[in-house]
Amino acid sequence: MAVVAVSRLTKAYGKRPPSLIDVTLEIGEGVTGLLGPNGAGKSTLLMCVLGLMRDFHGDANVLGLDARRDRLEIRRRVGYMPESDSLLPNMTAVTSVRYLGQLTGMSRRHALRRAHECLHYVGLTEALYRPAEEFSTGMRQRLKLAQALVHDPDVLFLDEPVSGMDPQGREEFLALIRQLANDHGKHVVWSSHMLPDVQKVARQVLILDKGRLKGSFRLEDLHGATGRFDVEADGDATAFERAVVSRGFETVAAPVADDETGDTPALAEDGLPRFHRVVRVGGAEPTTALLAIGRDAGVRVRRVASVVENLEDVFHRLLDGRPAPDAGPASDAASGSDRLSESHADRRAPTPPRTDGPDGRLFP
Amino acid sequence: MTLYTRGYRRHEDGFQARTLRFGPIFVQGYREAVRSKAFRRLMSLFTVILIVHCMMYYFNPDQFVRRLSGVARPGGASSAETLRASVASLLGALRWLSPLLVLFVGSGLVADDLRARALPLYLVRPITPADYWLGKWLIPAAVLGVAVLLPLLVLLVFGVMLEPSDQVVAFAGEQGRVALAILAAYAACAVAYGSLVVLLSTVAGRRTPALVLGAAAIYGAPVIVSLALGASVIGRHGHPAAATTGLLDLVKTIWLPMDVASIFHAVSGAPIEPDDVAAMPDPWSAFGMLVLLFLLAAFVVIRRARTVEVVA
Amino acid sequence: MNDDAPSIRLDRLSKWYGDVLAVNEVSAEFGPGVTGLLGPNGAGKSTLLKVVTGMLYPSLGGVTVCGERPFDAPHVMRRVGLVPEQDPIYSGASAFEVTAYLTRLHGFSAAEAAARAQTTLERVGLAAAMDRPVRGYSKGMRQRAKLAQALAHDPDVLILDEPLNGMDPVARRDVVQLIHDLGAEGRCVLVSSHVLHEVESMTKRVLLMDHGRVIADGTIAEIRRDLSDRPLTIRVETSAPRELAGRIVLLEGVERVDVGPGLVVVMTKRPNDVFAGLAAWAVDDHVPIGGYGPTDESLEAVFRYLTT
Repeated sequence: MAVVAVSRLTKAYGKRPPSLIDVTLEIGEGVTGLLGPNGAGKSTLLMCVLGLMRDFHGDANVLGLDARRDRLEIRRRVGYMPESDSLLPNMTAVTSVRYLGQLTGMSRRHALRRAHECLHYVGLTEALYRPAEEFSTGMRQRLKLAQALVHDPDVLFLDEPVSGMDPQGREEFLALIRQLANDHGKHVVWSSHMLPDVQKVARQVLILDKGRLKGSFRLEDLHGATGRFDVEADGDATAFERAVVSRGFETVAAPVADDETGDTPALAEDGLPRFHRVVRVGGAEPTTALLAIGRDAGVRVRRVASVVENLEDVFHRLLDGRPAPDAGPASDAASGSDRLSESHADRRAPTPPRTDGPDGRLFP
Repeated sequence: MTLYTRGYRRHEDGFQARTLRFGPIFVQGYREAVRSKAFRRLMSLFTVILIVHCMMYYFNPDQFVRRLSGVARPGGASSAETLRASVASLLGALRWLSPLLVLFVGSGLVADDLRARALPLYLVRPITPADYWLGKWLIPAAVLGVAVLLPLLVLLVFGVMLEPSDQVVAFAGEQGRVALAILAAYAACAVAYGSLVVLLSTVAGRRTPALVLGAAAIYGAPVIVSLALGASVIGRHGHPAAATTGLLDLVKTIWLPMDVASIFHAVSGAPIEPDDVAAMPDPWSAFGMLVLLFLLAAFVVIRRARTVEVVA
Repeated sequence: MNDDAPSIRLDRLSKWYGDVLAVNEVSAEFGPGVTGLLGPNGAGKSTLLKVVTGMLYPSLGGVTVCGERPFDAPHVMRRVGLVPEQDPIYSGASAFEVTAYLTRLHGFSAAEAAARAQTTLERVGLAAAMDRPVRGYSKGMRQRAKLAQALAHDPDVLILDEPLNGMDPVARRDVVQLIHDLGAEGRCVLVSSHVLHEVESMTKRVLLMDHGRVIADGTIAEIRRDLSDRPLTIRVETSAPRELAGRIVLLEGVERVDVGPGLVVVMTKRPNDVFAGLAAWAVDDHVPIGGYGPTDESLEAVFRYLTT
């Protein structure tokens, strides 16, 4: 059973152009990324699904419950973390979580116990009894997560959950979400503009634009072999390229080495020039073939990895072809370089594919 | 030996189907209100006033009736009339002072939530905007229960207890109308001041402007009403008195403490103090105005709660 | 560089509030080009930026912008553009009106201010929305409006505090490019951000702060090289992890080997030996290797290493 199922959902506010146009989608289990530019309709979708808005066309279901009829029941089983800097005035962290738990139907005793547990879980042990107004951004985000978790919902909607957090805090938060999804079977809908974060946690991605569904795919489909390999090595680049050709393969791109300050090319510790190539390789064991090429050319291969499509690249590809959101019609474009709506294909080298793995740690 | 599992644990104990969804909103707000400094200070004042009234009733009950009719009646007034008059007098003090309490305690009720952007946190709970409104309105209503209803009932019981022991029960039975009037007056206070303060808290969006506006509305209304009264007296030369009275009653109803007094006097059958006669609106007009105020406040608050963008 | 070129110089700068030391003896020099200012929350970045823009006096040490002190110096601040982190409160004015007004405050005529406002707002992508009231803008649009206001008077020095906050991926990409271009035009741009991979796209030069001190200053590659005495972590994808791990662990300099499903992670002080070994085993001994590479080399990894 789909976690969230929406069928032919259409919603317009008054006489304005519709925010959602005939949207049909399904959100499955695990972590799902909900992406889209501002004004794409993500907020409207969430509001309809939570039953905060009832005058829409089409159907919306959460965990099998109808969003119009059973909206209170839905909210009992769904946790929501708003993007806005919301907090309850004049309450300590524990009080606010307990209060919201009670509003969800828990008794005071249970709500208080759960409040403590959830606040421990999100890492706010030190600040349980402090007023929420004193919290830093990272702590506020964690508090909102605890508030969303207090009633142990089956589904979590997280709206920009890590915005404003420093990289350390973001990593910890992502780990919490991963744990909730993998170890405790929660379904998470993660709406964010930070695509790399989404790529690290999500299993499935939905992309909305201008009220329509533009894309829906599983992230593992992105990892399909492109046949291209990214190679970083120390030594003679020309020799390497010759060796590539001699084996019947081709060098597809020569991105600038990442140490470029404009003056000196990158160097390894022992003075060898470091270079970076993208090579199209075929055959059953492409990596071995590349390493053999490396040996032929006498270079020291530091990195060899298959080029994986980035979520960010896919996103832009699906959305490109549309002008920048607030640009005027193309006919009155000023000088070309000032217009941000131009395609960026000729700009710079593609961002190097990540070989760190999903979270750069030992085991994803 | 059991190992304590760190990390997240599921909630196994289930939920109760809460019948009063607004319950926690009310309970939390009420607790916060009665713990505030304003409540403590004003309640001390109200207690003092209550004690003074009790003592006056004990030592010199006739002065209540004398004030009403201007002269000591031959043979003295009955205990019932005296008691009713003393309750009316206490109500007279409370209906002027209790708005102050409600304003201090209640101006932040919705305003603080709006400033802290707390509404999204409420709305994604299984409650409706109507639950939010009701939970918030009940807070000043309950505070007034402690500040207005309780002292009046205490004075009534005190007066009943003072009767000779063999007549206590009979006397108590006769006070039905007064007790009813006390409840009616309390309800009028709760509706009037409670709705007003929650309405202003929502509309003003901040605590202090709401407080100032509320004070201006309640304590400034006499100015407007007096002007209208004065104008109607001048205008009586040449206009039919009846038409002026009808419109004037409507104007008088904006003076909320007088609405409370009007309802009390109508239900209890007590005579009206000479100072108040001109300013007292017709009880039905007063009742209508209070109902209107309640509905207006409910409409505004529910609409405001509903239009909050849950997401940016 | 000559004295009035676009630059920021900090000379043993310290700033405290009471007993709280926000910035602790920071010395740095920024010239034309983009520099990323990075660090965990509470590292002192915002305080540093406030001192640079003349909003706070230093407690100790000095700061010069384009060769002069920025305090009570309108002629210096005329050359500086600031995008603050907080949201300013706007009335019903449109972005065009506000930008033109603020540009006029820098001394331009009304006509010129209007023209500059127009160009800059178009450059940040608000061409269609510039006449609408700012009140109705999304967060991303408000950020772009702030950027336009900071740019309209053609400053030589730009201070950007979390400029991409709230922007959607389309806008982010565009603004990252814009910032990159602004640096290439010769302006001195200082960007404070938490999104490390975007900073990497804007610039190679970063200043890393933690607890008020500078813990790294230079290009990303330089910083990485300076850390080269620590063991390098190499991640290897393989369908025969145990066999591979067995071979790796025999190499000199290997400090630690972790084995997981389809994966071997090595920490070694002699990475070149590992690279040579992997190549030899794959080609000569047909050990199945899917791919490998060092994991410590992104800005994120460096950042994590230095701040934890």
